[in-house]
Amino acid sequence: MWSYIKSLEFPVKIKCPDARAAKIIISQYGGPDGELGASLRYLSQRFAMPCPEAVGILNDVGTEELAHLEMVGSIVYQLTRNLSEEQIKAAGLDAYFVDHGLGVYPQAAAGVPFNAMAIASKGDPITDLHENLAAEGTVLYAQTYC
Amino acid sequence: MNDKERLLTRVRVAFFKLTEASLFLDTHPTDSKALAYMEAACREFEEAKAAYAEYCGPLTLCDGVGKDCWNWIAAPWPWQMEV
Repeated sequence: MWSYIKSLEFPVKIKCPDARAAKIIISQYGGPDGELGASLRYLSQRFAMPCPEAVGILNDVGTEELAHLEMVGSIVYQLTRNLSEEQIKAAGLDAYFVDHGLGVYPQAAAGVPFNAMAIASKGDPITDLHENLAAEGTVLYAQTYC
Repeated sequence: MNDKERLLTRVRVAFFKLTEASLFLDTHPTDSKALAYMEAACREFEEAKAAYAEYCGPLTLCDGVGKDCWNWIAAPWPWQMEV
C-alpha cells in the first residue's frame, strides 16, 4: 500500500520548453533503463527475497523509484508545454506527437513502448541482485546522454 | 524564494534525510547513530509538513480535513510549475 505526498522529491521548474531534450529524456521515464522499469524491478523482486534486509531495501528503493518516475514525468511534461506545430516538427517530435500528442507516455527514446522484457524477476535472490547491479550501472549512460 | 517555497523546501529536506536514513537502516538496523538521525529527521518532517499544511495546503490526505471544502484537488499539483 502507498500513500501520496503532494510534492516532488526534488523540484522541477523548466522555464524554456525543449522538444529535442524531451525526446531523449522520455527514455528515463519508460525506456529499458528508465524509472518505471526500476520501480517494477525492485517491487516485483522483493517478494522472493530471503532476509528482512533485502526485502526492506527492495521495498523502499522501489518506492523511491516511483518518486523518481514522477520527477522525470514532470520534466518531460514541462519540456513539452505549449509547443507550436513548427517547434514539434523542427525537433522531430512529430512521430511521437501523432501517437501521443503531448501526453507523457512511457516509451524509450527510439519510440519502443515500455516493455517489461527489460527487467528480470527470477525468484532467485542472487540472480535478481546481480541484475540490479547491472541495472544501476546504466545510470552512467543516462547521466551522459540525457 | 517565497514563504511557500521555503516551507516546502523544509519538508523536502527532511523527507530526503529520512528516506536516505531509512535505506541505510534497512541494512544496518542497530546502528545507534543512524537510529537517532532517523528519529530527528522524522520529527523535522512532521513539523515541516504541519507548517506547510497550515499556510499552503495539504501534502497528505489527512492534512486536508476539518475544512468546508476538500482542497486536496486544488492546484498546483507537484508537476505544475508553481510548486
